[in-house]
Amino acid sequence: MEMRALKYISLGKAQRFFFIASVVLLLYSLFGILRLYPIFQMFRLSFYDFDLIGLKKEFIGLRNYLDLFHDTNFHIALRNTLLVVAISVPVTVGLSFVLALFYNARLRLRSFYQLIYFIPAIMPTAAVSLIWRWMYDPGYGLLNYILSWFGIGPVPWLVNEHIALYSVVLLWVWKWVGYYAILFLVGLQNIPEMYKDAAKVDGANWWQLLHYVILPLLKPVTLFILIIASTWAFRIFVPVYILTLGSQGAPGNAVRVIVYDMYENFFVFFRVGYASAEGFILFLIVAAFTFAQLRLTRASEVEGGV
Amino acid sequence: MRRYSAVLMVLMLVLGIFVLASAKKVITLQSGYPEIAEAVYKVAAADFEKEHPDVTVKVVYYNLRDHEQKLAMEFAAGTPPDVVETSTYFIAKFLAAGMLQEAPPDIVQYIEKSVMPYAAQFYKYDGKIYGMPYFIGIIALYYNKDMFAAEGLNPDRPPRTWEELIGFACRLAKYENGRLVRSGISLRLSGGGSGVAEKWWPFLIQAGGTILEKTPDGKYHAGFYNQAGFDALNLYIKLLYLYKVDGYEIKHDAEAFALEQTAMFERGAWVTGYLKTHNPNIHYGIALLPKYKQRGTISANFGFYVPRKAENPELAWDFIRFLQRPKYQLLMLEKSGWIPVRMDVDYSSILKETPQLATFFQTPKDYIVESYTGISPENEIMTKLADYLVKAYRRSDLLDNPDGIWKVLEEAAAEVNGILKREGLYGE
Amino acid sequence: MKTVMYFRKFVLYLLLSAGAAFMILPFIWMLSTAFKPPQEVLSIKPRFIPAHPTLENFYAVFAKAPFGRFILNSTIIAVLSTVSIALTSSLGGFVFAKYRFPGRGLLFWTLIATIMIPPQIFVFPLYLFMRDVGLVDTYLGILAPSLIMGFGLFLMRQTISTIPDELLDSARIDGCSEFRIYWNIILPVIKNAVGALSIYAFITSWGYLLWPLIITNSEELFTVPLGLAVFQKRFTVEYGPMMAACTVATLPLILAFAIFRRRIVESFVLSGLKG
Repeated sequence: MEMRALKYISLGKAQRFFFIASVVLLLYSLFGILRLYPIFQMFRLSFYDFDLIGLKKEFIGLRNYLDLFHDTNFHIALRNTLLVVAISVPVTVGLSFVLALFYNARLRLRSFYQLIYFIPAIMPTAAVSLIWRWMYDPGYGLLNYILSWFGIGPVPWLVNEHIALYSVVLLWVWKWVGYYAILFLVGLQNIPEMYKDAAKVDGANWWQLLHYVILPLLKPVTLFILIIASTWAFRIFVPVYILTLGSQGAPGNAVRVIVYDMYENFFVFFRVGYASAEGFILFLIVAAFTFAQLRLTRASEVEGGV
Repeated sequence: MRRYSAVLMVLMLVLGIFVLASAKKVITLQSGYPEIAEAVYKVAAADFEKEHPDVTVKVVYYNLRDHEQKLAMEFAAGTPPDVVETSTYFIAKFLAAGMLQEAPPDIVQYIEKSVMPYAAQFYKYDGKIYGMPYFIGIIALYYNKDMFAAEGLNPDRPPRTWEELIGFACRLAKYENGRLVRSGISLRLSGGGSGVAEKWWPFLIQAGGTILEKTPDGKYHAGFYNQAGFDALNLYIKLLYLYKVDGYEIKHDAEAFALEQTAMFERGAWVTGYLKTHNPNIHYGIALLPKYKQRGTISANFGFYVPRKAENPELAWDFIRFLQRPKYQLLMLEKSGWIPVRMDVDYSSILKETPQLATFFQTPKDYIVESYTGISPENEIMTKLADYLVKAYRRSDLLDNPDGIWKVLEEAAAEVNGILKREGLYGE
Repeated sequence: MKTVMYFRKFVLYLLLSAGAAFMILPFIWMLSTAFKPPQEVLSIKPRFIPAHPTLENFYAVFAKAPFGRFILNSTIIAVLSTVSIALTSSLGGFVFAKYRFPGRGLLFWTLIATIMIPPQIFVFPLYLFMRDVGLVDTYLGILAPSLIMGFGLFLMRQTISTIPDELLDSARIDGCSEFRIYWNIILPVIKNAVGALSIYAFITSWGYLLWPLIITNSEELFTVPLGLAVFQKRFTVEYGPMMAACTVATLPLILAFAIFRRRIVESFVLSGLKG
C-alpha cells in the first residue's frame, strides 16, 4: 500500500514539474519574443544616438538620460502625467468601489446599471476621444450647450491650457469607472458570506461591516486595481494624441504627457535613442510607484494577494 | 465550447500563414492624401492595370501623420513601398541617407521641360534628380466677396498691403453682445504640431525675414530674431488685442470660412474642394498674399520617389510616367483642389468652373515662394517654434510691449539655434 | 423611519441614474450626430433627434472604404487574441499562484514588468523581427503581439490565489493530472474573472492602431481603427461621417458584449449564491 502511495506521489511530482516547466516555458517564449527581447533591444538603443534610418548611430552612454533631465518638454510631460495619475486614480477607484457596493447590494435593475456603466469601457478609446473632442467643441459642442441651460458661459474645454488637462482626466475617469467596478465586484463576491453573517450576528451595522470586514478582505483586490489604474494612467496616450489634432485641437504643451512626448521624439523627430530613454524613465517611475504601493500595504495580508 | 474554439483557433492560424501567391507582379503606391489617392491614383491604377494585364497596382493611403510614421518604419526596416508619395520636406533625411533611386534620364528631361521651375528646384540633390514632382500647395488669401460688399468694400479688390489687411479686417469683424461672431481674418493660433509656425512664416517673409536663414558656409541659423520677426509677431498681437479682429472663442480656418464665421484666411488650394462640399453657395475670391516690405508666401512640394529597396523599381518608374498623362493632372485639380505642377496641360476647362484657382498659377517676379529647407531637425524646429508662438499669442500683455516681444523671439531663436548646434548644422 | 429608508433609496437611484446618463451620453450623442446631415451637425442649438435624419454619413463611410471587411478583420484578430490571452494568462496565473518553485517571484514579476512599459517602445524591434520571419502584411503578423497580455497574467494570478488549496489537494488525491485540475476545476471557478479579462482583451485588440498600421500594406488586411484613421484628414474633421465611422467601429463591440454579457452576469449571480 505504501509503495503505491509513494509511486503516486513521485509520479505526481514528476508530472507537476513537467506541468510547471511547460507552462513557464510557453509563457517565456511568447513573452520573450513579443515583449522581453524587443524591450531589451530598445533599452540598449537608449544609450545610443540613433535616428532610425541609420545615418547616425553612436554610443553616447547616459547622455540621453542627462539631456532628458534638462528637457523642458519632458518636465512639462512629467508634471502633466503625474497630475493625470494623481487625480484620475483616486477618483476612478473611489467611485468604482462605491459603484461595486451598489452592485453587490442586489439593487433592482442591477444588471441594467452594470451594462450602462460598462459601455464606456467597451468603446474603442480612439472613437471615444473623437466623440469627446466633438462634445468639447467650444461653439457647437454638447457640453457647452448643456451648460448654457444653466447660464454657464462657453467653457474652452480644450483650447484653454489650464482646463485642457482636466478635460482629458474627465474622459479617462468616464471611461474606466464601470470596468474597475466590475473588478471590485469580482473581489467583493469572493468574500465568503460567513464572514459577513458572523459580523451581522455580532450586531455590526452597515458602516462597521464595511470598515472591519469588507475593506480588509478586499485589500488584495484594491491593491491590484490601484496598481492597474495607476499604470494605465501613467501610460495614457490615445486621448491626448487625438485631442491635439489639427487647428482646433488642444495646445500641444497643455496636455503633453510622457508617452506623447516619447511618441513625438520617436516618430516625428526620429530621436530613437532619446525616446527609448524616455520610455525607460517612465518604466522606472511606474515600477517605483507600484513598489511603493505594494510596500505600503504589506501591513496586513489576507489570503492570496501578493 | 472550448474544444470548438481550439479547433477554430488552429484553423485561423493556418489561414493566417497561408500566403496567396500571385503570378502577377505587384507594385505598391503609398500616399498620405486620401482625397488624391481616391480621385487620381486609384483611377490611374485601374487604367494602368488595363494596359499592363500582368501587373497589379496597389494603392494604399492613410492620413498624413500615419503615412509618415509608417514610411519612417519602412525605410528603417528596408521594406518601403515601390512608389512613395510624400513632400520634399519629409523625404529629405532618407535622401541624405542614400535610400532613394535616381530618376531615369528621360524623366530628368521631362522635368526640365514640363514642370514648374519653382517646384522642380526642390528635387535636386547633390546635382542629381531623385524624384518626380507632382503637386504643390501654396498659401494664398481667401476672402468672402459677399461680406466685402456688405461692408462697403469692393468685392474684387482684396487687400494688397498689411495696412489694407488690417483696415479691411477691422471693418469685417463682427461683434454681437460683446462677443466676436465673425473674425475679420482667421489666424492659426493653436493646435499641435508645427502648423502654427508654418502659418506665421508667410508674414515673416513679407516682413523681410524667414525661419531658417542659410549661411554662406551651407549652415543655418534662426532668421527671425530681428525686426522682421518683431513685425510679424507684433502684427498678430495687434490683430488679437488692439484691433480684436480674431479671437479664441470663435472657430478658425477652413471650417470657419465655410461656416461664414470669418471674412478672410490664408490656406492652400485644397480648400476649394472643401468649400464645394461644405458650402457650395459661398462667393469667395483667392488673392496673392499682401505686401509689407516684400511679397511672398510658402509652398509645400509633393511628388513621387522610388526607394532603392523597392521590389519592382522599373515598374514603379513606369507607373510614375503613366501618372503624368494630362487626364490625371486634370482629375487632381478638379477633384482634390491640389495644384498639379505640369505646365503644358490645358487647365482652362477646370479654371472656367472655378476661376479662383487661377491665382495659384500666378507667379509674379517679385513674389517670393519659399519652402522647407529639408534639413533633418526641421520638423522639430518648427514644432518647438510653434509651441513658443502658441504661448505668445495668448499674452495680451505683449501689446505695446516691445521688450516682451523681443524676449519671446530671443528665447525661441535660442532654442532653434540650440537644436541646430546639436545637429551640427549651425552657422553664423 | 420607513420614509427615511425610501428617501435614501430614492437618492441612491437618482445618483445612479444621473451617473448612468452621463456614462451613456457620449454614445447617444455619437449616434445622434451620425444620422445628421452636415448642416445640422454644426448648429448652435444641438438637438438629440435629428430633424432630417439621413443615412448619407454611413453611405460615405462604407462607400469610401470596405468597412465590412475591416470589421471582419478586426473581429477575427480580436477573437483569436482573446482566446489566446485567456488561455495563456489563466495557465500562467495558475502556475504562479498555486505552485512553489525556485525563482517564482522573479520570473513572475519580470513578466508583469512588461505592463509598465509603454507599448510604443517595442513596436520597432518587433517590426524588424516580423520582417525577418516574413510575417509582414499577414494576419498572423497583426495577431502576434496580441497573443499575450501582462495584465491578464496579473489578474489571473490574483484571482486564482483566492481559491482554497483544499480544492486542489482533494482533486490530486483523486488522481487528477495537473492539467485536468486546471481545466476542470480552476477554469470554471474563475469564470467571471476570465470574462472580465476577455472583455478587456477583446476591446484592446480592437483598438490597436499603431501596430496594424505598421505591419500591414494591403487594404484587405486593415482593421477598423486603421479605416477610421483615414477619415481623420489632416486639416479638418468632418463630424458627421466621423461619428458614423465611430458608430461602425463601436456597435459590433457593444453587440458582442450584450450577447455575452448574459453569460457573465449569470456567473456573477451564481458565484454570489455560492458563498
